[in-house]
Amino acid sequence: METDDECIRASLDGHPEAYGHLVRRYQAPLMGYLVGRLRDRQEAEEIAQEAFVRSYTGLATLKKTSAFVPWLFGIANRVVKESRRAKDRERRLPLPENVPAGLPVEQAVPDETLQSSIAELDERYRQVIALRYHGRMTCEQVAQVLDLPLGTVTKRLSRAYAILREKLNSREAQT
Amino acid sequence: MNCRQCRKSLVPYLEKVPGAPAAEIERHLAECDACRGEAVAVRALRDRMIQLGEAEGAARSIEPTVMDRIARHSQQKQEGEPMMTIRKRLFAHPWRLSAASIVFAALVGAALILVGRGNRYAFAQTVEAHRNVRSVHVLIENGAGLTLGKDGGFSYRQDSGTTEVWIEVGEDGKPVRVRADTDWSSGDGPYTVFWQNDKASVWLRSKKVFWTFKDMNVVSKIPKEIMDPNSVVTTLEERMAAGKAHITQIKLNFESEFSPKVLVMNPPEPEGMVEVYVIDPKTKLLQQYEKYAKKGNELVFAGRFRFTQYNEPISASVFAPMLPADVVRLDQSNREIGLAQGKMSDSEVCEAVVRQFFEYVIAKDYDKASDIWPGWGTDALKGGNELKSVAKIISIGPAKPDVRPGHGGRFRVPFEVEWSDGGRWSGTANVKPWEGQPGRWRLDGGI
Repeated sequence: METDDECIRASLDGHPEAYGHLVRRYQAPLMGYLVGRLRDRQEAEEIAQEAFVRSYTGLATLKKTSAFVPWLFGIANRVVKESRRAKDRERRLPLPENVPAGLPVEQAVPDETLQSSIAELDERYRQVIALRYHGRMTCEQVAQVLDLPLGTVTKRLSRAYAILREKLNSREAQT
Repeated sequence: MNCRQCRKSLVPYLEKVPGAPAAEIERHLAECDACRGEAVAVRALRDRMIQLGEAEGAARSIEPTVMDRIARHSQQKQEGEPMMTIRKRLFAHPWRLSAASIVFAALVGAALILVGRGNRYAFAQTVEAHRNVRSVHVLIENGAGLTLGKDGGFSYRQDSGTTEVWIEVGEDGKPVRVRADTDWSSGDGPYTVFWQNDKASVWLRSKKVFWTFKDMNVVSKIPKEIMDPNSVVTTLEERMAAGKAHITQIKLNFESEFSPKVLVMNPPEPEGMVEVYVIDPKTKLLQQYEKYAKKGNELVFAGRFRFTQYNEPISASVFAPMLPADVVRLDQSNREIGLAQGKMSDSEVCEAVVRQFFEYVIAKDYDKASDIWPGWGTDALKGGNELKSVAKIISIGPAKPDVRPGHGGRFRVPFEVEWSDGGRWSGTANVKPWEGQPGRWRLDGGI
């Protein structure tokens, strides 16, 4: 399988199909990351698509190919902010008559408590969790794509576990 | 191992991270109820996270949508972006090419190995790959029509423009069926050529004429690189073997297995054509071939050939013209065109061609006159007022070579004839060999 670096270089050399490898590889972690944050699968999907397209068009500006994933997540964060700003503007506009303000969207929200707890985590923990569990990567692979020492990844994961357990205990105690 | 150390290593242990002290942790867990409880809790959370990840992962893939958007984005940009980059480099740093030209192609054993600033590419692979080409679609852009003349100056070719070609090649490597669509804007205007079984048909779209004739005179206007795309490769191979091609391989900013191999051939002189060959890394086939006119440090884009759809079946409809009803069909495929040269000199045969033409016209034998002046139907010749009134030849010759650029091999023959009303017509006829039937000469262009 091609490395991120190879896929990026090939994409820059005029082979967009090589970018498809990156999309396949990182769509699940990015989606997991965004669904957790936005709590809306449809919106997460739109933002993930936009983030992938923007990262493709901006690949030439990526100085360090090993930093692709943090860079991609950074782009996704910017798209989220833009999307929210746009939605704020829309809300200020009056809705036309007879149009329901919110349409029901069929979406399964698995383990919402855990998801919302993850969404409250610090960015650096959410990235590791997204890659490890949504991307089904090993800790070594997470370390590689985030360009971090393995020890840092396991420490972040340990810390994320500790925080999550606190949050979950607290929430589950309330209910 | 104490409890603090155990809890610190719990996640690396559960994640099976290399280097985690598994044996020590397991020994401690076997002895410590508190840490065992902690491990159970962490493992439960981990399982919950895995389930969450799997549930999210079961969602539909966004890849098709993303790739579709990227494809549309790429289409909106100019095609062949890597070549744009290369071209920018050529224009921006022409001196680099000169420096690169110092590197010569090396002949190693049976394989030609190109040695450049980048990695090595065995050109023999491309030669071999092209032996198996049986069909190809070619897009040609003639740049700005600029060519570098022998006098060192640039000249502008009126027949520049774009051409789209489909070619089927036989087992012997020769073209079997060809279609070429041009948008050339001068002379006969844009036209389409169909070529098959030693017959060419030219559809002069603006003149609404579909002219069929033996062999391929008009097709010869199309460069050899198009009629026989494999010749680009074999010609280069021959030039390399003869030490006449100085080639280097361009090292791209980013290279991977998907990257094309980009070879640049520099002319040995300060002036000439710089040629760029872009080779598909997987199929080894030529993807693109570009030419630049080089004059000192100046490089001017002169043409590009893009080779696509190698060995993909070409629909039969491509080679079957769908002519509008108002198009006049002119079939001269079974006729001998022009005059045989025999033992006459070039200027003698040219004068003889003009004389023969007017003799046929005077005899009102327009069928034979149209053989001398192919491309004009009998009816067209009958309808010409100047021609149908010609009654007598006053003088013909002497024939002189046409020295104007782009007319090599053609002669100009002055003539004077008398009309039936006593008026006289002086003009110049153009005569050139008929490539389709070797040894025969014919009228060319207007008179």
